[in-house]
Amino acid sequence: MKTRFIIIFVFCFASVQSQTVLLDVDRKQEQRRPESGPNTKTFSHAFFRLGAVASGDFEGARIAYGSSLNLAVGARKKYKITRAISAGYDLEINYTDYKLLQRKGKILPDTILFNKSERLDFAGPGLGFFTRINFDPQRGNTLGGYLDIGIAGLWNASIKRITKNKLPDGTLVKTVLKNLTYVNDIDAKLIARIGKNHFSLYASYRLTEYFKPSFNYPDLPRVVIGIEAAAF
Amino acid sequence: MKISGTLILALLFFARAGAVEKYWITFTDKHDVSFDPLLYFSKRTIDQRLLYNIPVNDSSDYPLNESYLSRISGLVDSVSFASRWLNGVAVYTDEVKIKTINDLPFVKSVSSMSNTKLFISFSKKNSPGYKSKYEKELLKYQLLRLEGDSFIVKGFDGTGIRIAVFDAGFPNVDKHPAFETIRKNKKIIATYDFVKHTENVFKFHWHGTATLSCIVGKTDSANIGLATGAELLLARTENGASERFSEEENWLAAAEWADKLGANIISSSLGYTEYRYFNNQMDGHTSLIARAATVAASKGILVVNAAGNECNNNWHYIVTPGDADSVLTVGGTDPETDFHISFSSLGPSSNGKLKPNVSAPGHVVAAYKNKLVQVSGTSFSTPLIAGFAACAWQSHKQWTNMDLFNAIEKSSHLYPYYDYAHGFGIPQASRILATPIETEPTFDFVIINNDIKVVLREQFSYPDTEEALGYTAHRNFYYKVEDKNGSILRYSTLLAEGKEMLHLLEEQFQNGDVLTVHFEGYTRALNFPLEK
Repeated sequence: MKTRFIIIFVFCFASVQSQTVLLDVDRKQEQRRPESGPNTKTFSHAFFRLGAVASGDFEGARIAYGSSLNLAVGARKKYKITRAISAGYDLEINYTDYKLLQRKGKILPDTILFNKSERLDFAGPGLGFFTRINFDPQRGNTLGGYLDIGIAGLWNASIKRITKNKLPDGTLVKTVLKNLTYVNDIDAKLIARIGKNHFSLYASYRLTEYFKPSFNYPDLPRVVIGIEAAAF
Repeated sequence: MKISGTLILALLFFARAGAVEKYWITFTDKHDVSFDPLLYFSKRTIDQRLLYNIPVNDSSDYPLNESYLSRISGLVDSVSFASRWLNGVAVYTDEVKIKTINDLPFVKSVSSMSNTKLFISFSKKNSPGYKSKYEKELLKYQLLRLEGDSFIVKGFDGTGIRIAVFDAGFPNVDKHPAFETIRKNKKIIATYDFVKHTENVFKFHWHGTATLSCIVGKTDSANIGLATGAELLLARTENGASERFSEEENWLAAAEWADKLGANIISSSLGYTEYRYFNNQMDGHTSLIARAATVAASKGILVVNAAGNECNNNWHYIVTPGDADSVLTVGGTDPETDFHISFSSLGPSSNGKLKPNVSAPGHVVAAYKNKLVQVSGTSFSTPLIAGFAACAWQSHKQWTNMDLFNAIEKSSHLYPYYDYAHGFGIPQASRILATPIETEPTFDFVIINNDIKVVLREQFSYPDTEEALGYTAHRNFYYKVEDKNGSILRYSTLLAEGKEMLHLLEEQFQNGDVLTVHFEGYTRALNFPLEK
């Protein structure tokens, strides 16, 4: 599709001597009607998301806003149904960390207060499905403005509790605890995106509980908001 | 929560169904309409139409049927614009009402006019100003490459030609020293801002200031453009922010306005791409703006439009309205190399018409704020050609717009060779003013059995240095292969460094193919199969 716009020494046809080719366009290789593109039957692209935990926290599990983050990288496939409606799915690797404030009254996952930091990390693959409404059905071969509504499932393959404590002699002790028995490793969430072309604002609402009911822990905030960049 | 999600979705559907959007409505006819060209057109327009044998009482100039208009006005939220040329109106209404409108007996068609994107892609190079040696040379080059001095010497400066410039604003044109002559000689005949509906266009985006300077600008030491004596109609048609389809509508309104005021040339460094269109719709018939440009050409106006700066982007090809057959579409060349500048959009149109038609330098010196700067883009190649066209037309007043179109193509430095990167090349003033002298052959086809060689003649080959050659011309060697339908299959530009430029085999070609080669003003074709 791209013009081979090259300034290199090549053989032209069966030229016996090398020539400096300034411009060379072989139109047999041109494909005028796009076989793929943001507004064709199917379209795939990678995406990257940076978000922050946004909704209110609960007594006993207070978090540090701004440093409790959500990151994701993935691939999306979109199927055009009508000019205004599309549907698709996402495969992503998702990472969310909650930085727990070390305050009196903390009970998640215990009452120990660490003088540096304590966080709960959730990471793993996810699969999401969405329906897209395009605001500009007459657009050309572009994503245009859109609203996505969807649902996603996550398997938190890696769940860690990471604590850092500075001892009186200055030694920093970092502890990583895995296989946390009080955590559910499957999540579901509602997702919404409103975007235009390469960028969108993203929001998700976790539908499931992070912690098993028998432990009676306060839940962590369920809403994440962020921005998503589509790479194509 | 799933129920909530479904509810939200449903609400959005309903909200969308009731949303007010913009639509274009085309009427079936102009029955029962009266029109007096003497009242509607300027005297200049009537004189020109008579001179060029263009009807002054053509139904496309009639106003719209008032009863149709009032019926539509009563149904929609508002009417944005009514076009005589396209016999239609742009309206704001909702989907339900538009279905009712579509069923009216006098409505021919209805189409949505929602979001799109403007193109005025260019770059500005920050530099110490035109006083640097390079910029002074560049400023001279941009007109010398068109042999503009031939026009200047003969006194052709576009006097008597009226050029309408459509752009995103013309800030400082009322103050910038580059336009002092224009202001002093009261060459700005009319202005109109089709976005804000006011007459003040001397603000907003500086792109128009820069493009205008490439038509009429002047410094103490040199001209920036060639048509320093032309009259001007300045129209702001680009918004640059929201509600972007209106920019195509504004272009149409501005073209009708320019025609009414007797414009000879429209210079438009604008274009539209993927935000509204697919590449295969660049056929000159699909976009509103291409249809508007085609009507403008039918009214005797030479429409000059940029090819676009999309070559290195996914879009790659020309932009609309440069896709319209009767628009003189201008590509860009690199002053350093004299061939296609990397960003200049390639042709042809999606229905195979030759585009771009011609080329001009795509890196130039132009006015910006209170100074001159280096700018890049086919946006600036276009006004250079508009200025060239004004001088050419002044020199041959009997030419119609399409005579001029053809003459500009024929005057170009590669003519009769063309390809989809350069068109016919860069127009040359000397070839407008006099019949070009036939160039002596610069190469030969040497055919032995099925071997085909293209060999430069002795005096045109092996220049060890430019000094040895005796001139500083760029030694660009062009060749292309066309099929029996005249569609180019492959085109190339090589740097002529040796004597034997090409060595091809006959079996590489199909029957009906044509190999055409151009070097140093000489073009020759070889038809396949070869005659034995």
